[in-house]
Amino acid sequence: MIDMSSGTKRYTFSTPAAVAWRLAFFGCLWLLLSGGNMASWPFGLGTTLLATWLHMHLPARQPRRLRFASIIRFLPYFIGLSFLSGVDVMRRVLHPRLPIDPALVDYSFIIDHEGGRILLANCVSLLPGTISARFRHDKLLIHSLDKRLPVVETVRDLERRIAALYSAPPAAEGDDP
Amino acid sequence: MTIVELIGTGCVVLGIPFFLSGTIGLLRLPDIYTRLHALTKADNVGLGFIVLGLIIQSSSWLEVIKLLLIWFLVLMASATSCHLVADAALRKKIKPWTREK
Repeated sequence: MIDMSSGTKRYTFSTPAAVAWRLAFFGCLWLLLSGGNMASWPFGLGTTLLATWLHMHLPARQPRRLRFASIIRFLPYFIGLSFLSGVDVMRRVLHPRLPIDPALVDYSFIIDHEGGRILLANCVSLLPGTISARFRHDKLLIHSLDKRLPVVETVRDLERRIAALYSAPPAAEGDDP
Repeated sequence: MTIVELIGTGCVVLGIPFFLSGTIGLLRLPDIYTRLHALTKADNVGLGFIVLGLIIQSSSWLEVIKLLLIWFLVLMASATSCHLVADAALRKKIKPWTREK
């Protein structure tokens, strides 16, 4: 459902069917995690209701569909980088002289939708030597473990790959996220 | 011990040094920002190896999906909380540690 009343397009998911779908989804998630243990359901029910409520009330603008084939291509790259970043941290903290030289680096997004930016900010924290420290609109402040790392170039490459995960902007019709 | 169990156990054991270096980083690194690096990254790889090891040894598909789901949820939670802690520290005007010239 699209609420066009407030200038910018705002997507809300408040139809009974939408609520039912989300309840079913979060309920299945709980079922999977609890392994069908009935004793866990009083807690699980509360969590399911809370998740559904949160999902309907958190702002959801500009939903974009993710492309499944691109995700499959992205995963090995992502897993490889996370592994390298773990090895990098291990090397630095175990080294007797603790070879770090931290700095803050400014970064401007190219991606223009919020979902992609959030995904990028989260992935930056798993790259070797970088975490995303501050995220405001189209700027990201990155804390780098070592000044000499080519932070902007590395993140730019990651951003291009993340942009490729999303299909073209949706038409005026509402698009399920 | 079968070969599958051996590889699975090997992966789990491989995860331990990563968790250990996350903790060593927490103790050795100088400030909140650098410690976040150690905790998010090293622990994620540690968990990755342990989940992989358990998947190799698991007996049902449901278990595999559950393990992958746990890995994914922890990954999201740790990246998000890492960002929130760093953001809160910047708001409190905690200056990042730098190496003196």
